[in-house]
Amino acid sequence: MNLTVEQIQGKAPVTILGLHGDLDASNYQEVIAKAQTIYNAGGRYLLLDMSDVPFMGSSGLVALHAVAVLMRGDKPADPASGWDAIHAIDRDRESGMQKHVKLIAPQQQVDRVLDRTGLKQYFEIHSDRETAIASFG
Amino acid sequence: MTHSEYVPLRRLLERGVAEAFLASFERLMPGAEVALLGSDGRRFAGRGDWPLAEAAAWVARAAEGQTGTVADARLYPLTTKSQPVGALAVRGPVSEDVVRCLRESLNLFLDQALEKREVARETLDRYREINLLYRIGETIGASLDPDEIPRLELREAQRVIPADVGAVLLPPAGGIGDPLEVKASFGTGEQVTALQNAARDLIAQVRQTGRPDILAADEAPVGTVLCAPLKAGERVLGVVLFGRAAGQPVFTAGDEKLVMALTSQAAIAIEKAWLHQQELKRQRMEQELAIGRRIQLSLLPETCPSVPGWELAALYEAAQQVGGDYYDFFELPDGTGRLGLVIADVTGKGVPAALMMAFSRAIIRTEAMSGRNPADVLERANRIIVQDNRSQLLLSAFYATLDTRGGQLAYASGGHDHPFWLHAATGVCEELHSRSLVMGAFPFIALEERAIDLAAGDLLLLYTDGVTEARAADGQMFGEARLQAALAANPAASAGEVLRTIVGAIKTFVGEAPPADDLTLVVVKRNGS
Repeated sequence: MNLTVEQIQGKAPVTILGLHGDLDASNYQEVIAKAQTIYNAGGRYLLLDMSDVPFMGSSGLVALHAVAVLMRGDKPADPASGWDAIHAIDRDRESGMQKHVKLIAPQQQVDRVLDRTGLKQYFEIHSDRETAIASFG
Repeated sequence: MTHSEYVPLRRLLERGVAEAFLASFERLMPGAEVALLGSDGRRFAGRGDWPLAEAAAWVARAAEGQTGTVADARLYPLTTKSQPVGALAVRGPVSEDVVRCLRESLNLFLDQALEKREVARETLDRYREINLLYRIGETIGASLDPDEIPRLELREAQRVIPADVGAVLLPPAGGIGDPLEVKASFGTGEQVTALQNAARDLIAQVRQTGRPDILAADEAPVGTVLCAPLKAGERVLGVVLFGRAAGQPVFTAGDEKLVMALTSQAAIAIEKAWLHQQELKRQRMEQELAIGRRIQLSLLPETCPSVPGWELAALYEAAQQVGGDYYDFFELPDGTGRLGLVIADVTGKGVPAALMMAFSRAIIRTEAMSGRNPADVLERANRIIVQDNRSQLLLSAFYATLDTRGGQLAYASGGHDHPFWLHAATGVCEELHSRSLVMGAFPFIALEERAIDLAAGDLLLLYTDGVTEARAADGQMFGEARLQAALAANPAASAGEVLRTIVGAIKTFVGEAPPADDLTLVVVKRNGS
């Protein structure tokens, strides 16, 4: 899988992470690592461009979830912090869809996986970059 | 090897030969006495009484070519390669010409003898080196510990190459990575650091060329450095460094050769040890996989429950790697004759996935046994899984309760593939949708619960994504349409036969390609009344 990073100055500064190729067990950690780099560099709003991802395995779900958690500024669930961490996640849940990571144009198979697993309740999906960028801020 | 040591005459000349030699001279010079005196104050050959102690003292002082007189004896120093070995003592009527002739003959004789001796000694040195290399080969070759070999190598090398500091530098982990690390050394920590600093460019050069080289560094505390590659075949694994303090002799080409002989043996041993470790690691991984597989298999139901009016068939087929698929059946203990059905898929592979599967199975089972309805069971199980999910793995699960008397199936899905419901009456294949969310990520999920009524002859198929995502050699996936077609191919058949038909269709589609993911399928059939 190839990853491309693009910075866009919309109403808010947005980073577009382009995924190119299948997203599966062999590379989902690369996506998490790249998102961490973007977060560390100050990025807070991330668009995952899925238009060039023909296939997403279940490991891709782990990547999407971890990216959403870390872009929110939380460490991916740390069991040591117990219920506090859980409640922090819960607040997010109560406010509905998370606001930091959105998806652009998933292909059919990826869309089906998102639908099946219920992650569409959690990730806003846009069919093109322009509306996706405009949706932040 | 130094040549400045004292060599006694007896080591250079055979006494009988010397006696015969002197006697033949005495015959040329009647009335004269001739003898060879050692610098140890003994007479080595010849006749007569001589002031031995004084002569020895004179030999020790005498310069080359100088002659001297002690009592009535004339003394002429004997040297081999400029080293005094004794004196020729002459007394009586002898011409200087004859004496010179005698001295020159003797000196020549002694030079040759010394040369012979050195050749012999060099042979002995070679022999010792060969012996040493052989021993090193044995010691190092017997070790399969990649940390021990560099230590052994330095210990053995120190026997033949005098040095003040030395180090073996190799990649950090099992031959992989940069920069090189010190794996063994002798000398103080400060010396080793100084050696590395002095040799930085030399190390890079030697790794590049694969040839040893010597550096005359004049930075104290390192005066001279010898760097040799650790070469297994053409591959440079690392380097060996030796250093001598400033003022010590510079390393020689001979040292280089010797070190190369040592390092080539060590390099082969190190590579062998690395391979051995890789093999151990592979074995450990295989063991881990076997453990994961055992966990997984031990938790799958051994047989499908036998329920009057129903047929159940299930299959779990493992891919090469351990996945986290499972299915489960259990009778609910509330006396209503309801049967619990679970199919689930943990993301990820290996032992973590197998453990997550075991954990999730136990929780879902426990929650289900309380008699709660499916959505409640999955929501509560999810909360416990999230709370305790150290692995960050996610889980998709479908849980249904089947009223085996009335045929009603109540279900909820935690992000799992939608099961198929084949209506016997119409031949229509319906997907069991419900609002759903993958488990293990969010602590509070709200799942939708739905219910359907299975009629006589109806088929229900539960599966994991390993089935729909099974790929043919050209990368195409089996997909839902083919799965539905296979399910509907022979609706009158038993659940077991339907399962075999589906598996056959997958196998035909995938061909020779090894399965990438586990295949898990459960078929439920309501028999005709």
